[in-house]
Amino acid sequence: MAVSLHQRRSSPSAWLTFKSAAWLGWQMESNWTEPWLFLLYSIVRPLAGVGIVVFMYLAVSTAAGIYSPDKLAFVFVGTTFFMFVGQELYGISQAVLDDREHYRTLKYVYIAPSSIYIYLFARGLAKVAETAISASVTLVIGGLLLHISYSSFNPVLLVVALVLGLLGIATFGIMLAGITLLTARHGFQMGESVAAIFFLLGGVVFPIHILPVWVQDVAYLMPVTYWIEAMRRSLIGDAGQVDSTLSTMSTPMLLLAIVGTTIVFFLLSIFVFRRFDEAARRKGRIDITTSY
Amino acid sequence: MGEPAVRTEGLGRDFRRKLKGADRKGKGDRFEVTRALDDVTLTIDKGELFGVLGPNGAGKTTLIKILCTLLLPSRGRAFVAGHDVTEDVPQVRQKINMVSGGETSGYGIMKVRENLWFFSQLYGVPTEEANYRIDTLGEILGLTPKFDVRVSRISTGERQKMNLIRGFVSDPEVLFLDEPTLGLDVNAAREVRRFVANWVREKRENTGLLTTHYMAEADEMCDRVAIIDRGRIVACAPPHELKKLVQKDVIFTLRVGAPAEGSLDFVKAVAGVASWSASRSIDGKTAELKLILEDEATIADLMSELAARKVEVLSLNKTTPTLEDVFVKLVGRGLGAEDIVGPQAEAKE
Amino acid sequence: MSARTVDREHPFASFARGPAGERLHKGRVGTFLGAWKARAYIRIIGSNRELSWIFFETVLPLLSIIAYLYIYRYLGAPDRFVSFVVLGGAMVAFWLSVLWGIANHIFWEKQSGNLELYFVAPVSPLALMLGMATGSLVSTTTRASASVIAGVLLFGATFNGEGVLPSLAVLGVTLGAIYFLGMMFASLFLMYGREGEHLAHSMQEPVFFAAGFYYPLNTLPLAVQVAGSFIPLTIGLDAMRQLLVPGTVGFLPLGLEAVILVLMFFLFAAGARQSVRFMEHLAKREGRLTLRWQ
Repeated sequence: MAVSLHQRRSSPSAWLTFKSAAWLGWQMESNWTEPWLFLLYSIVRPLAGVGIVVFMYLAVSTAAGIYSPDKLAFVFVGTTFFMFVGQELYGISQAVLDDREHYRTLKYVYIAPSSIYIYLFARGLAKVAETAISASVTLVIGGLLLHISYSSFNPVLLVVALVLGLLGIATFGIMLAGITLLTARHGFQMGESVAAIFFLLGGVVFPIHILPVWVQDVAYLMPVTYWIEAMRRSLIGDAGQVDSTLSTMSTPMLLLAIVGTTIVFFLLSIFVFRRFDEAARRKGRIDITTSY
Repeated sequence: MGEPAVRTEGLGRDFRRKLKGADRKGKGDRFEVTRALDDVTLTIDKGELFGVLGPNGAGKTTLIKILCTLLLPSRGRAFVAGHDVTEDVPQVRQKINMVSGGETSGYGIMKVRENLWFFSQLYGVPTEEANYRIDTLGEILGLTPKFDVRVSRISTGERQKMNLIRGFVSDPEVLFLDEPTLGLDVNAAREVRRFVANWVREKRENTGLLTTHYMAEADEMCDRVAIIDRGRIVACAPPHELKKLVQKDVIFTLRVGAPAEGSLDFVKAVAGVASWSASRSIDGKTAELKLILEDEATIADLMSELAARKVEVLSLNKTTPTLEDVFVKLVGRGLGAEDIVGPQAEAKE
Repeated sequence: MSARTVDREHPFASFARGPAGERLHKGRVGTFLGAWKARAYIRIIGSNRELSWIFFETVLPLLSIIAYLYIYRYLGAPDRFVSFVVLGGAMVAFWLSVLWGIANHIFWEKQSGNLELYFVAPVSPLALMLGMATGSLVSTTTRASASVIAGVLLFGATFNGEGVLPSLAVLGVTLGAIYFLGMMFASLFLMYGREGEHLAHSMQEPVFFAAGFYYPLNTLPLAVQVAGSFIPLTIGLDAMRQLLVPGTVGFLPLGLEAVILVLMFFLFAAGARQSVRFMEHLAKREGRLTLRWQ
């Protein structure tokens, strides 16, 4: 079938860009030659990450002689779902570094007529897919070993909140990707460093109300805060509701808060990315290498 | 004569690739073996600039990597500056350096001078001497103005000049140049060739091994050229001798104004003209003479004769056999045929 | 810049030579030290040219440590747990430097084409890795110090003043041991290529967990304590806690831990030397030294 000139000149559809970039990201992430490494990375590592917080709890409980299953469930579930935050931020921002310094393809992606936002978002999704496996295993094992009850499991809320949350996190990922255009490759994992902001402010491992008031105000502006709360509710229901502010919000309000804050940060992410993109192109940094 | 700079005996290198899934269907073996080098026996004397000419995937880079101690041979032996490349690795490394074309090495965030100083330290060059060498070579190559610029901000040609200086700053006895003019413009490539040739000629203890798939480069620079194809050396001789393998005479083509009277038959009477042919243009105003001469000096006599008979010479062309003609004759295809592209090229070579 | 005048006519002949006309070089030890110094220079100057690491590598990770401190506050932990988190947070900086600044960085050196130039040069890659390690000390020490300062000023972490000097000595030996361990990992990373990044990630949280970075080691099951003790960090951190945090019950007696650390130092130093040789041989045999986009 002949392709008309008009068809040849139009940009690829968003879906095509998304599909191609997601496929590329998955190819990179799923290229495991050693099964033991896959197990180590996808299961042992996340378990260890959650284990740190669990054993912090156990250390204190042993020292003080007080055991609070609700607190344990709170920190365990929060930390498990927090994996998505770190990995998605890492996946999106690392795509810039990988393409710029490792594969040297960033310039080609840039000059293509596809949407760079969709490309970066889709590249980061491979990490999310991996994390889903890790989180699932962690929840099962944790549930068994720590006797955490999932009797309040709400699959609809889980799926809806997960999708909304990933979009919310992606907005920060895009901002970080923009910033990465201007920074050198310092060797550490920038996405995971930035995730520390949410680890502190997102109500992941302690209720936000114990933070200073001015810090709480910042925390309640972020989609991650509401998302973590929603994910907890989808698994452990009321048992996870220890935050004095969030526990007063109904589930629909919570989801609305995720949507509202995500929209705000989405607009901000476009603005931030464009500014950094312009600066990177002005300074000629799209195709540099910065390793030292 | 002494020990040659480079000597190889039956050198061979195979690369194995594990076959998985669909690749393995119908094949008994779990591995696919690519023979990148096969029975390569070479001797390169000190003071020689030796060229290895071949298409992409021929094995040129594999050969250099073995000689630079980056790769172990699968068969055979190799010696550089009298030392075995597998047994006497530290001794070999003291005496060599390597410059590759299209290189991206170096630290983008560091300045050119800093990069050069850094690599000089890997060879134990005292800092003061290293700075002198960097300054000297930078001035000759015209890179001095860029010494305080970050490597990420210099052009491709400048980066290659930096890499070239890096290769020479250690004052090597043997320098391996793997397609050093790849990606450079005409002027930059010319500068690089002149630089390398001067290094070999300045002191006849320096030896260069140059791999290239640019025939003109090998022809212009090298004392001897080995033609390699599919891992095997198919010929090795000075360029002019290689061209003699091709039974192709040197043809002089003259375009002249057609004489008003008479023909150009007088040409055959000029001593030294082995054979000739003439054809007139359609309008009859010009003629084309094709001559094979016994001796190139005959052309001067011919020009005198034409001038005496008032025949105007409009143009003179000389057609000689090229190394591509040699390659086609020896290998059966052109130098650009069947190029292998993509990441596997590195392993295949 | 050189003080000598450039000889354009005979540039190569003007290069200085030794008394017997031999090529000039500093000898094996001099070259090793020079390469060490040069690589450290690259690391230090490079990090100073791009100061964004101060924010991403120091300020932001501080937030993680503050989060852990708040966890203990939320759980009502005794004061000494605050000191545990502060020390653990400081050690995180060094461990990440081992993983990403040395071990995994070798992979990036290969990608950029520098690794093959290292191996063509007549100097051990150990010199270069030591350069990376010592060069990283500036940034990792900054990060570690920020952790300690924040913990002391914001959360009232307290340390035993008399234990500061001996714990710095313990830290020095521990760092030596883990940096040599990192060089051993570099061999693995060279072989695994791109997957080395997964390997480096896999050595983060499991090590933080098994080494008891944020809680007393004896909180963990005995099997995990024993497994974790093979990492110098575990023993080093435990020894430092015994010296700096009053009331800490150590995994092993302090003297024994000090001896183990010293033994680990020399063991991993020898291991690093051997593994670099083995790595080089294997990589040369399989052609991986120069294989990119792996």
